[in-house]
Amino acid sequence: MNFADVLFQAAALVFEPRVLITALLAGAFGMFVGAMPGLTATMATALLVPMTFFMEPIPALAAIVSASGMAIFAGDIPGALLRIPGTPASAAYVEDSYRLSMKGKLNLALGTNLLVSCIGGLFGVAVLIAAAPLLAEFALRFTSYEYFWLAALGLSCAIFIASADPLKAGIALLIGLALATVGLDPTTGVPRFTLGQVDLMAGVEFIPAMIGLFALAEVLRGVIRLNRSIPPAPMPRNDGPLFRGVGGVIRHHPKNIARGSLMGTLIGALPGAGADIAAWMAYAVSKRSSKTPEKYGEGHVEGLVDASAANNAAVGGAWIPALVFGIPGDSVTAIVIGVLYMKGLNPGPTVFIQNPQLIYAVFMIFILTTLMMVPLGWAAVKAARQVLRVPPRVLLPIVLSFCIVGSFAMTNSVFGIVIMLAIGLLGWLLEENGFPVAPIILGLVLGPMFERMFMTSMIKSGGELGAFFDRPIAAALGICVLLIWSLALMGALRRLRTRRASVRPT
Amino acid sequence: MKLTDALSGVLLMLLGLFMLWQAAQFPSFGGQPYGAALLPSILAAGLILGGTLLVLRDVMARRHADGGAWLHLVPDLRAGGMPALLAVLGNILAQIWLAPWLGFIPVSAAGLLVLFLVLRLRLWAAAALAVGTSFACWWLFAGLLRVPLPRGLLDRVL
Repeated sequence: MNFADVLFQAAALVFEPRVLITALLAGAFGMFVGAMPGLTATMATALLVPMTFFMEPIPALAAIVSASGMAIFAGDIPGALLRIPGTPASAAYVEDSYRLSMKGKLNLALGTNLLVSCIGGLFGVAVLIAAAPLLAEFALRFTSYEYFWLAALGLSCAIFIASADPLKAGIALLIGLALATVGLDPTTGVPRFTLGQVDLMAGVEFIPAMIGLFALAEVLRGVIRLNRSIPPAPMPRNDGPLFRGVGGVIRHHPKNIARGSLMGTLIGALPGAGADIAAWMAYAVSKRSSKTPEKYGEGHVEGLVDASAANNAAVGGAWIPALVFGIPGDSVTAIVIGVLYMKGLNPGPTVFIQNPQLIYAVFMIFILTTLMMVPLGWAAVKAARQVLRVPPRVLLPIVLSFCIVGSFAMTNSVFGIVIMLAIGLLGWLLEENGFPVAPIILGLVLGPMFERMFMTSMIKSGGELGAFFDRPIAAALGICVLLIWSLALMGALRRLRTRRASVRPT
Repeated sequence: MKLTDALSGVLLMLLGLFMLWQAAQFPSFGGQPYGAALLPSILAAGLILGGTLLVLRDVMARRHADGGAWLHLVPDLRAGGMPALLAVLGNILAQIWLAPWLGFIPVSAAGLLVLFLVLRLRLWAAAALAVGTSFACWWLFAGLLRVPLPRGLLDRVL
């Protein structure tokens, strides 16, 4: 099949009324969820999946791509209007955008957010389109050794890069991996940790677990805090055209846009780190290299440009390892991998050869939904004042209903609800105690692959651990993993020593 | 609910020990020195190590500062969050235990009504939203997506 045929087939898959309408509806849903404070982009995806379960692969992927991208932008809206970030990815620059809006520049803040998000998103997609097929060709030569190290690299990144407290992140990851071992062992067929329950033989059902971790836990946190909620801040007015003056901002900050987009894509592509971390890091780098760092946090547009581009670029970047290696770049792509497996499309380099039209269809959907963000975002900003009046006390019980029905739909039995409840309570307790939950989901997704690749490698080599370093790429990846661990351990020891020195009486 | 790190550490160590005990009972893989128990045992060891480090870190921090109580409720729970938390959990448990007999719609509507009232919505708004949400979920999932939500009492009506 030549390239033109592939593109033609992909276009035929994408430009179908059903796919386009699904993308539009999912985009509107993503806008709504992202704009509501406390409801995240991951939650939008997790709540959407039970519905995509009943769709063909292409509309299902279109729905997820559309909803997650829109939700990341929409998180900026309540940041500017209420000083509450709609999603954690908008938290980095919420102070700047709110102060801008208090100075009467609400439209400038949101218009910049929207257009720069779109540019950043397109940049991430461009890198995805350029890098994924090349990497896939490279990855075709990978054996279980390389995949073992890739999975190990992903798990290590989740601990050391994506978290402020590596010890707690590490424990969260171990919990995720432990949850992944529940069920029949893939190599020997022995039931593990099933506690005599037949339902657990197939393992912890992934989507109900996601709904529990990212939606139920959020509902629990939300209802508990409702009584304390302070009356919302007065919303600034947003009359007039949204994009007035935005062209000037974009023309004056091309470097910021490029830097934010690049950082966002790279951080997104790192396993475990997604849009949230991309935004924080882009904002920090922007501040450090700015001529006027003192203006940051006072209603300055510069950091907003960097971080806004970065968080949407990360959405596309996160799909690179997900499509090529089956290793999620963030929580949303962790769900995507689960969906791909459910649809019988095992992510990995072979998809690029067997079903290239699917991959190019995903690329087209990405471009399409990123462009769709501009009109949908415009409408969302215009409707925001009404939408944000929906109080959480109305919204949270409705989200709860969707959690219940969605988990039920994944197993067609109450067992899905049981899993959602158990994992949701676990996630809530862990997060209340300072453990990040994103590593749990990474462990749950990567655990089976990690174990399978390890066991396959061990059987192939007859238990010889040296074989893990025999092949050049495997050795390079292995050294990377060992390097990350030794650097982290050295850092921890140094911190311990300085703390000892500082508390010792002088 | 907030636990101190030392207490979470002890719980994690117990979880690790439980996993080790379970893993010791997994049969070994014919002719190989490793099998189904390998990864669970490594993870269990990691949990025990992580738990120990958490305890040590917390104890060391406590030597220099007063750590406060070993377990305390989040202030929001004391400030009236508890009924809301119980209402949410009640809704889910009712769907697990009662819905297979009574059906999705009545259990959902009644549960949501209680939850909305606990969250201090007015009665008429709470009732309308509870019934509306339940029917909307039914329409979307049981109607459009053909999910076999429990029909319960509906079987006699429809």
